[in-house]
Amino acid sequence: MKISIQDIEFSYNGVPALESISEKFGKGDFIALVGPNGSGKSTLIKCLNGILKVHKGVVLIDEKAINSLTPNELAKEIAYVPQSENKKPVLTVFDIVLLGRKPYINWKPSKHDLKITAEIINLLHLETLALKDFNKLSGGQQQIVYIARALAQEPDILLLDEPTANLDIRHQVEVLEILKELARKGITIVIALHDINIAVRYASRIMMLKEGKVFASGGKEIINEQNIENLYDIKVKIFREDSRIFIIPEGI
Amino acid sequence: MTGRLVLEYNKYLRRRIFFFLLVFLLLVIIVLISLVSGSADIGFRSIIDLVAGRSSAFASQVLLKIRMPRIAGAFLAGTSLAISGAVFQSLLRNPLASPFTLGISGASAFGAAFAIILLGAGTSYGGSNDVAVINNPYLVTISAFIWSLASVAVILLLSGYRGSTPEIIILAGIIISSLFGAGISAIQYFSDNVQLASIVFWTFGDLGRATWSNCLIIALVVFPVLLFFIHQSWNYKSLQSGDEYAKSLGVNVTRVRLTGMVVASLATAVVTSFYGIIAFIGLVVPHIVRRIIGGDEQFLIPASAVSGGAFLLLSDTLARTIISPVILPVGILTSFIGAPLFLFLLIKGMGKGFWS
Repeated sequence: MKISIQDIEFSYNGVPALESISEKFGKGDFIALVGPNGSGKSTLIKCLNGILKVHKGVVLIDEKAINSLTPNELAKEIAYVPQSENKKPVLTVFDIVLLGRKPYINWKPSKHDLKITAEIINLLHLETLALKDFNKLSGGQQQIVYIARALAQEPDILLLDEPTANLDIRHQVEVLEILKELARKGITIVIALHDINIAVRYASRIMMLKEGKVFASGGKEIINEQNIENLYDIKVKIFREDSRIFIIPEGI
Repeated sequence: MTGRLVLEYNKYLRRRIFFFLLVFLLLVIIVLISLVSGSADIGFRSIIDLVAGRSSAFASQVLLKIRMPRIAGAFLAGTSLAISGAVFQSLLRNPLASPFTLGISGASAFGAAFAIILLGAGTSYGGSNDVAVINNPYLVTISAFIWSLASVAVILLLSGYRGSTPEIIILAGIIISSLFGAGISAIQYFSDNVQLASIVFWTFGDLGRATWSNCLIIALVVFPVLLFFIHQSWNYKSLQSGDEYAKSLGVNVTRVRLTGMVVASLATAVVTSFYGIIAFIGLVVPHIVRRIIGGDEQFLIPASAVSGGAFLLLSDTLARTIISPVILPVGILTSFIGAPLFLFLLIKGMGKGFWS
């Protein structure tokens, strides 16, 4: 599903957080939002699914403005994986993933809802954990469960806010490989990332945000020393090996 | 492969349903025990006689006019407080929340006292242990409900603030409780002796005032409330993962929370306006049920309903028999059970998360 962002603005109590942002993403794009803390990555993600209402401009999915859809219709198109969640009551992994079926459930899940939930649990290889207490899982496993929960919504667009923030490198790679595979199947992925190396390695498009504005946007060609240094305000060295890019911080 | 997983999940759900049936069985046993407990010598034989239509006038009087309405009242009040507690806990994501700890019970009690004494909804008769006779139960309930909304407003306002922790909300609830407690004291101060006796007696919950007619009013509120909560259970479940996530699932967070709080307050108010403040049922019961079957509202709410009824009936039966022939108001007993558990939860929550 295509996303078109047209000149949106958002501010928190008068303090601008996003200013004149315009972008177009296509079906199956893997878009990484990068930039320093407070640059507006999370805010932009929340504007894309209407959790935050933009003050100016419009977000379109497949030519339809998101505020013309009901919240429930929107939830069938766009799924959201939040940054972090509080500790939960005792629920099994199956219960958590089933929660993603909420937009389709009125007051009781149908057989179809249970079937989809089971399919997604299998897809992400969570079968052995399905009836375990979610709180007993490791951070990496929990993150994969959250992605599964989002997939249960059968979305065309998946928004993720720092999904790898608390994970070790193995689980970071595991999560991103899963996302890459989903993008290959046609799901549009928009992900806020802190780790620029990971972003460069997995994303098909990179959107650099600084102080609520688009600093640079495009493919791997925008990764150069000057851009990164200006974006994060540090000195970096970039090494290229075959098609791979490595960004090494040098100092302030 | 997926079929097997669904089967396993359904098998897992059977545990929750089994718990429900178990509590139901316990309830039946407690009802029977409660029917034959008391100072009047009425055994199982009399119950069988009553069913067969050949019981003595005295036995049928005691069973039909005293014990049965009291049992029905205990069950309905317990159900009502337990489902309100479960819903308050889910809506505020606060395991310490309950009608009593949020100050909703206190506010309702004040509203009821206000209607009885100042709005003239009750008449007082002299007598050794007589209480105010409520001759306008609707006015009393409505007043209790309106005042309970005042404390809901404060709680919602506070929980809207960033950085309001579960402890702060409960602290606010305790402040609200003591404020309304002072309000009740003020009404007491300006009332005559008989009224005074009736309010004092009435501020700790007592099921001795249960009659068929007030049971009917409570039932007319509690059953629709229960159905409403079950219907909303998936919305409540979504809220557990945070407001923003719930919004991304298409839930209208503000509306769900507001209607849930108001409806739960109504259920609390109707019970409190007839039977007084019965503390901690709404905290203890959902907590125990969560422990046993987990925090899935779809099961938690109906299971809390039956467990709450059974638990309050058990408490009341104990209160009636523990120092027989003196009948202890059940509110005193539930406070003795609930207060230590509340303290335990508070201490446990200091170190780590509250929920598990």
